[in-house]
Amino acid sequence: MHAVEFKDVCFSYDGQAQILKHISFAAEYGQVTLLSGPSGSGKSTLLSILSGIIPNITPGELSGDVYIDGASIRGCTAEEICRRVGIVLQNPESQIVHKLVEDEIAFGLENMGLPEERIARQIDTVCQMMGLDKAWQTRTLSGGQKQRLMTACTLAMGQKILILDEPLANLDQTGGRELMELLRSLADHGYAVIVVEHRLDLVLPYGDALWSTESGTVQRVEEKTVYLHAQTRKIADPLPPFAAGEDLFTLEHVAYRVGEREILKDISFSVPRGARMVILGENGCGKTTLLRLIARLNRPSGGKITQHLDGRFDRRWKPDREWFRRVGVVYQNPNYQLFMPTVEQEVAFGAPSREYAEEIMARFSISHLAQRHPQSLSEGQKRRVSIAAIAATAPEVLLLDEPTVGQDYQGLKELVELLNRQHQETGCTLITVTHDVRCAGALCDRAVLIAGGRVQQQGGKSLAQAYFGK
Amino acid sequence: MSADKNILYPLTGLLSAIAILLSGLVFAKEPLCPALLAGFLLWLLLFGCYRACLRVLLPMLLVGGAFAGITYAASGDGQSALGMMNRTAAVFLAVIPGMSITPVQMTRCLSSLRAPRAVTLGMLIALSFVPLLTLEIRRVREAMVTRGAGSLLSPQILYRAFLIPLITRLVNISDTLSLSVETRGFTLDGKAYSIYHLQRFCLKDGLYILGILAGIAGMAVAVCTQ
Amino acid sequence: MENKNLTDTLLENTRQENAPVQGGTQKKRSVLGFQTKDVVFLAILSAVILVTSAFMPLLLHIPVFGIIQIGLGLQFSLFPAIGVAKVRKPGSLVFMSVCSGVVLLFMNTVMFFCLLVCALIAEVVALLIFRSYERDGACFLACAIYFPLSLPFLYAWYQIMGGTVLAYVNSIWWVTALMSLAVVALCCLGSYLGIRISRELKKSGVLKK
Repeated sequence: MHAVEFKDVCFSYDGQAQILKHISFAAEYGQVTLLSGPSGSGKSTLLSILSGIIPNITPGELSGDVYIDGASIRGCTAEEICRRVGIVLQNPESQIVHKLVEDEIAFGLENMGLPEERIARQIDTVCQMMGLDKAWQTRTLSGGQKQRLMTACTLAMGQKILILDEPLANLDQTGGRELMELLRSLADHGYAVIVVEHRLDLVLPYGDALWSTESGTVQRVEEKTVYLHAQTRKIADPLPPFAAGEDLFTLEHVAYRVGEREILKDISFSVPRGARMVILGENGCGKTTLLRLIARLNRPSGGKITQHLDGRFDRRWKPDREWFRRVGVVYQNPNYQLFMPTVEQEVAFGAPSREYAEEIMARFSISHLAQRHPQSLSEGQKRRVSIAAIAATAPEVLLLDEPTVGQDYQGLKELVELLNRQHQETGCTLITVTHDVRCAGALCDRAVLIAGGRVQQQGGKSLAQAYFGK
Repeated sequence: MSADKNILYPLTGLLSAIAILLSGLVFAKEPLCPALLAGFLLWLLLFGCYRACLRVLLPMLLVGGAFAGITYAASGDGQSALGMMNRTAAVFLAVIPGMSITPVQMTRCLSSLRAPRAVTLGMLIALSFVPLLTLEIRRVREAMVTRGAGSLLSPQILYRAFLIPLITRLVNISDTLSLSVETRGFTLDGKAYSIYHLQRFCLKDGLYILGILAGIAGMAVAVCTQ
Repeated sequence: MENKNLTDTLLENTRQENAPVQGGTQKKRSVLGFQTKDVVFLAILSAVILVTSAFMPLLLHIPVFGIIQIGLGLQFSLFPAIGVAKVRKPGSLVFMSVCSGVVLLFMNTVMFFCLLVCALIAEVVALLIFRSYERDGACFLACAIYFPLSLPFLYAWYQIMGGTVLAYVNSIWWVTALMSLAVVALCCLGSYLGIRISRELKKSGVLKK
């Protein structure tokens, strides 16, 4: 008997566009089942059906049969399904409602109606398993600890089928390996574990079965290594070798701390004008903080950052409109930077002329979206529009924070080409924070590797390749 | 805001906050009012609200002093200034019991009294998400600046650049959170649930509220007999 | 292996509660038809009101009638308008009033109960005129009058309590009238912006019913 089985399942949110097309899928007890595929290929929809979110909470047209332990879940409420299937969602920060780890874990158990002494026992057990202290304040936890907490909340509820949606998103490699080892051991003890994850290189050694989703279909992958190579194949860099000139930014012994926590301790390097620089490092090592310091969104608590764009900026205490016109900052989440009623107005806002805005739209292949509301676009399209809107101000420096998150291979390739073309045509300096193995080399003339709050290594393209090849 | 652990039964804390505030406002112009308020402060300290008292004391003196100064400058009346100081102090003191109760203590207390689950969850979220949303608002304002959309001179752009990304983020957060609480078994359909660390009214709470009420009664007697 | 014992404990402890339910049970409806997602969204908006009203204690004792309403009018009309326009169920405004008033309960108890009553009156008026929140006009009206309704309560409160503010209220009547008008205008603007933004976001698919 399968732990989970989908038979000829179709789903559509609006009754028109089919998100899942006649899929058949199974997961077994005692196994870690991996689910991989590009954004928008139907992974999250599949998980939502399995956990009862669809059609109980999110409506839509569902056909076919879904079985848990051999019994159909048709007509079951989300609550009934959730007692059999535990799900750990993405974005743990948005899910924590209590101040203490203990109370957060207790929340689900209270809803189950467990008596107090049994809740206490579950909390102790699960904290021991996940390396958490029940007295910890949830607000002070790191991203990785929050992820572990939400996993603990689900584990404590005692379901034998566990689903984890991108559980490694906030974890560094060590944290990711630890979590995967725990999931592996749960599977060894009879659990059915289903993991949706982009970072295949990290999860594949722990998986028993691998399924791939593409355009609403799901297929079992037999040749895992071939699939992994296909998913992580690197994009070639079309640009010639970079000839370094004068420095644009010089960082000398830069440090940054928040309260007692030292995020950056001693960072020294320089960014040549017109270079494409990549900042590398594990999750939580301070890459984004460093980018924010260069953008003058935060001030270093120690050391000095010198900019050679314009001496006038040194005299201004806060970065102003003029600074951000010359130093474009692209956020990891495009939702923060899109606010106009149409894509056309979004790109035109801040552009020196209407013609230039149109040129940028054409360059970024978004002219066909001109009259669409930016917030109505897919995540990939939003990212492209947000980069185009920043690029339309013709900045001399473009700071990009994880510009490729959630992109499938084709989307990623196009985005890298666009960025390189923008760099080539305007001569702007690109500083990119990324941990995407596929594109780091293609956006890199210079690389700097951050670890433990310090610069561990500096180099060229070979450093990026060596870092991801380790 | 970190709370002192399990000091007051939440409803006792609420009742005492109301009593402190009202008595402070009613007796604000009485010469004995500072003594009454100092008594409340001492009583709160005695019952273990150290952290909240310490956090409130300095702002209370600064804000109260400033307002009293403004009142004196405006009216030239010392009694009005004292009244203003007392009223401000009463407001700050009334906050102390609230600061000593965590949202989870309050919601568990209300849950044990069978308050609707929608209300307890709503209150819990409204209080717990303040730090996260403060951060979100800061990020949105920062993003506005990076797009050059923070100028007060163009309000048409300013309100859009603030509200559209903020509401979009709020919808994202609320969607994730509602899925999370539902997949953790939360329902609004009256299903039975249990309460971890049940909040109970005990002798100490009775003593605490009696002390507050006795102080107010004593003040009332003193005022009437003057 | 130690994990074996731990997982056994986890599963054993919850075996009874997680036993499979045969067939499907009938889903019960919650009070007033609110779903969890409605409650969560309204609570999150209430938290935003709390965040954006954090400076309220500074306004409490400024001796000008209606100064609190001027300081908080925009957020107490705009965010409720977005909440009511999304959820569109009677009780939404009262619910937001309760959630956003939790802090007020300790800081200014009178204000809490006053706002609760105002929310009730605003909802009753809007629903009496429009019968439901289906039309944007109903959402606009409820949220535009919600906060200004606190002005008469405030006036009555000052009459009872006396103090410096009362002196101003009584002596400079036109300040009171001007402030009251300003509060009404501000709340109408906030409510209008809230409805406008929710309409736009609904059209773009961000805000779903």
